[in-house]
Amino acid sequence: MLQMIVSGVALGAIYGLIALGIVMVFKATGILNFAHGEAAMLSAFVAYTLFKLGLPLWAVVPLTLIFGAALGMAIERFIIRRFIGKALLSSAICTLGLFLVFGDLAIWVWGKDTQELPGIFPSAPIDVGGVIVSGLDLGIVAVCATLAALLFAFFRFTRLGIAMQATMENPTAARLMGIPIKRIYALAWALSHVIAALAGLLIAPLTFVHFSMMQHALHFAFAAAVLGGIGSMPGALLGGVIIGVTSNLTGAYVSSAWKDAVPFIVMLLILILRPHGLLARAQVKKV
Amino acid sequence: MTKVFDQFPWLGPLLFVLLFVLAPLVPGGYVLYIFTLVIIYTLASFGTNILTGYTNLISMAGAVFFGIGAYGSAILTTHFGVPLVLSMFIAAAIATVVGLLLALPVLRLEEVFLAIATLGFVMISVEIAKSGGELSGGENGMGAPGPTLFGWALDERGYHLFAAVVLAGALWVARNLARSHFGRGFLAIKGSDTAARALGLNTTALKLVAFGVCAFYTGLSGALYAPLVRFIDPSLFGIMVSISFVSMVIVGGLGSILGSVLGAVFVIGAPQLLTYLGFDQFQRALYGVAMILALMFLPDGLASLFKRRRLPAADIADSGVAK
Repeated sequence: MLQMIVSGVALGAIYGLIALGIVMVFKATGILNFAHGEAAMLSAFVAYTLFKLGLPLWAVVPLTLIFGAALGMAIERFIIRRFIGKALLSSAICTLGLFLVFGDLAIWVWGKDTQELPGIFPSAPIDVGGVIVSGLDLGIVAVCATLAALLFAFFRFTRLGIAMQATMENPTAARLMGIPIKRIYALAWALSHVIAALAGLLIAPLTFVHFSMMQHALHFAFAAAVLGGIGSMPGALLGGVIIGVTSNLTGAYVSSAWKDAVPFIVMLLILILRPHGLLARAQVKKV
Repeated sequence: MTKVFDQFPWLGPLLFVLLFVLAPLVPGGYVLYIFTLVIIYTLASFGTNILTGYTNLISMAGAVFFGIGAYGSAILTTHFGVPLVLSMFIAAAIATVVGLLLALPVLRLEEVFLAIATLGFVMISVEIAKSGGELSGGENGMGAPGPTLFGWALDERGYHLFAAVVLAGALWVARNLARSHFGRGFLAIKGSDTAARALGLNTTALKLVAFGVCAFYTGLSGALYAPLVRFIDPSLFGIMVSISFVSMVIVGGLGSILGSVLGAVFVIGAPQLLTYLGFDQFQRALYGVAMILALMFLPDGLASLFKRRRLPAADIADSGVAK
């Protein structure tokens, strides 16, 4: 049971990371990005290619993250910029178009075969106080915790982080205060895709590298983002953990067929009780 | 264009019906199949448009109703010997009831929350369809009998005409509904939920009606789909179907009947055209690019190609058929 929970937390942490990226661009630019998982998939493929070229791990990871940042900025610059401030639905459908493009692009470049990316962490089991945990799970949780701490510090203590928060709260006021909000938008997309690339690297040893590797995780990430309250970044991580643990426990104790549905039932129940998600502040509705 | 339709209210429907009725004259069974598919998707597109275009509620549950319609009509005709037309309406009625039941708990949710919550329904309903026993064939799916009408077996052309007639009826109902006090209520909610409530409108009831109508249309569309494809399984009613319904409405034009039709033509036609032109390998990518370009350059949908530019003030009156 405890082991199931630990591996659920690890899986959930990845969902949480993807959800975090979704929440970040949603908060900053008001866009629901359905192509987010596919961006993570592309990053995983880039990492795979770099490995194949014989680069060592310490070079592959930063290069992949840089690729993520570049991808995020390019998407923002060439497509998303036109949709900021427009209706939620048209931008969402636009990112769906992007989702289709990325899928075909991956098949075109890397083919439909399943590839293996050597794990960043050893998968050997480690005994932690009587609970046998795989090194991979432990590594994933450690990375997520570190990232969460770094992000917290970034938003709390750096000028850039505070400027970004101000833009997320009120873009007009932020612009009047002299914050270059267009650059902040680009930064939000870049940062969100760096996190996506990280999620891709972490999930690759679990799912293998494949053009459809992120589709399953993306559904869960959306559930996690909404569960946490789509305006809250800690909420995204918390939502991810709830979804991951629920899914794992359902798979182990109820039926593996219901593993995908039960997390959504839990999400629905929580939304009925808290329509704005777990950690979001209720906003006063403007007429 | 809109003005012409206002002066001759029958022209629009007549045009579409003519277009769809004349389609069987085109040689080639596959072309006809595509045209019939467009009709079926147009029906679902109307449903989605009434919910999303008029009321601004974003629902991703389309695949659920589409699936209930398809399974409903297939099960009723196969296992219970119910005639096709009757089975279609029973299936659509079941979809409506399910739609109302699903809508009740989630109506309080807004935008993204509603979209993702309704996406959850699809995840759950696919599992239910998979775990169905002998009745639905579970994961393996089930055959659906070919269409018969009053004891007569319909051939491809016959079924196409039948679908066109159903569509014309649905179009007429949708148009009148949009002009009724329901339609005005939907538009009020679209403008502002809070303001509509302040005006004394029962927004909860109105939203329920919109959900019910959407579920009925989408259910009916699914019920027409099963006899066309002759074989259904749970994989046909996944999230991509819901997404295609929503994208039809967005790409075609929110709150516009013409937009619904154009959206269905785009969503069904564009991938077919790309395959036909030999872009098989990049079909999804090019379709995605087309979607992005359409949204970039025609933010009000393909329907706006047929409208003259107007003052912004005319937008609200123009966004619906309601006058």
